Amino acid sequence: MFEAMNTAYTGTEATQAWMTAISNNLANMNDVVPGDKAAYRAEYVDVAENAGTGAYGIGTGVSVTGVTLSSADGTLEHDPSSALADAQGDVRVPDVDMAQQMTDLIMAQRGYEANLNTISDAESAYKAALGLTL
Amino acid sequence: MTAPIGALSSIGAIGSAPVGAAAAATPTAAASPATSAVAAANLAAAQSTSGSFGTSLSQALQGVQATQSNADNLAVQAATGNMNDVTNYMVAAEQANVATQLTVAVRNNAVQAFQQIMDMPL
Repeated sequence: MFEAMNTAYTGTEATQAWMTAISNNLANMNDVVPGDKAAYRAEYVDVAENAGTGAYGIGTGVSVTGVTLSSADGTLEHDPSSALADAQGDVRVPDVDMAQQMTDLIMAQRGYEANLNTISDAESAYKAALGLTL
Repeated sequence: MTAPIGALSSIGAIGSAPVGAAAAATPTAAASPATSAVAAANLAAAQSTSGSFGTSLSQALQGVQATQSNADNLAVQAATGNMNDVTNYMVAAEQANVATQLTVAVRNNAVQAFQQIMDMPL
């Protein structure tokens, strides 16, 4: 009976995971490590449609299948004055693009609100059926 | 007379697919919505036993009870701060609310039909 609400709920789960990954990327985008260590790897959430179908062969929503990490190389900067510089005076900074992350944050927020709208509209439709008086 | 029993059987399948099913195991376990295969199997089982009116009504009430208890478990998790997902609790509470209202509406219609039959003059 609640297929629409459950499907939209899986959408909210996926967008919430996306927002968590974006916040992790933004929190760690200034992690500086010596040049011989691995830099912070930005996280991208992999999502895929749920296997199996519901009524009439319609799908049953989305699920998070894993997290893809970006390259561990980051950007090699030459900064001998830094306290973390290695023997060659190099440090690594993560290659997190803040503009791209903020755009993704807006998309994740709009996706989350769109799924919430689906849930509330489905609930209004179900409650309208309760208004039928025989 | 089979139409109301069919409606009651479909109500009994509500509780089989609530958001965050089986959330009583551990407080920190992330609850996920039941799969459509489980919901379809439960719906088929509920509709296959369309025997007496009493069994259909009891199955419907068990389904609503399952939805309500799931919402209560999630409310306890939210109150104790163990919940990771606010949306889970809100959707489960909404589903419990709609299922309860639907059960009450069906009961009212059944009682009204019974009273109309009883009011027929002999």
